[in-house]
Amino acid sequence: MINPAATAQQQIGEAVPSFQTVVGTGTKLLSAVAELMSALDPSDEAALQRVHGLLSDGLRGVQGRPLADYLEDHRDYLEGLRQGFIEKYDVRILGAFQVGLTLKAGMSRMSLIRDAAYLAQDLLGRHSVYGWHLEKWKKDSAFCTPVADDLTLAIDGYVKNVSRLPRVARASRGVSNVELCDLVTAHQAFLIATGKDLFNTRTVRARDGAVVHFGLALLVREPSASDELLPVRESGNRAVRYIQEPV
Amino acid sequence: MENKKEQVTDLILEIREKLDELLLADFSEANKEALIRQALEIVEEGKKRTVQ
Repeated sequence: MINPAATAQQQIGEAVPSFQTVVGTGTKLLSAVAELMSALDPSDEAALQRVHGLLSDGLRGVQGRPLADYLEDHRDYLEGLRQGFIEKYDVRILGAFQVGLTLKAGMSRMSLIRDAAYLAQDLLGRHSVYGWHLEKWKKDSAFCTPVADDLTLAIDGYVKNVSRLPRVARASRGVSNVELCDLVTAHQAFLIATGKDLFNTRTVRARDGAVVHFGLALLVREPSASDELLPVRESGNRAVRYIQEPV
Repeated sequence: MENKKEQVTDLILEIREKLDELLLADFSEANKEALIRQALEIVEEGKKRTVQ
């Protein structure tokens, strides 16, 4: 006849080598685990229930623990990922809300945006861009076409002191002249490099009239007829522009 | 009675699984150890109650 209590004790004993396999030997942690396993008393169900509850709650805490703890524990690893991204795309912070980057020949804007979307989960604990935009852009040649030669972009994402000019007048002054694909690419590069919003929480406009807004993630709104006529401040949109990098 | 013993066995096995999960979890060693120490205190308290 099988004795359930003895079976349980045997299984407790068997558990220790498996822990050793997982975490190695001689650690304080392993000793604590072994101590706990041998202390469990099959006749004290109330204590077993409490231990079970404690570990369940602890594991839930692991899964839902604050982002700050996670970032602290993985700071070196995550910083390595961030640096790898910065080097790959040669991301340069040129000002408070200005960024430069280089897509090497054969890279596409989408490759940077995809890398940023992947890293944002770990680095920032959130999405960098809404998923439906990624689905749309991966079919858009402006985003997906690899550049033939190295392409350098430098963008000011927060142009100050822009007068109340209609769109056409602004375009003639060299603001709101950024293509959507470049604006998104620059935004994502800045986000990963700094953890900040290139648009400083404002809604801005690209050349093709689309409006880009940063909330929890990058969101693109289709242009409306009024966007063409309203000046920057009245439409609530800030201007962006291509800039020349300082030599 | 037999059913009760099986429940206890299952409970201990579940604790073992949770400890396995905890050891592999993305959590600092110090926090893992603190959790296990807390579990040990619960078990020790139970033993004291039994003796009394």
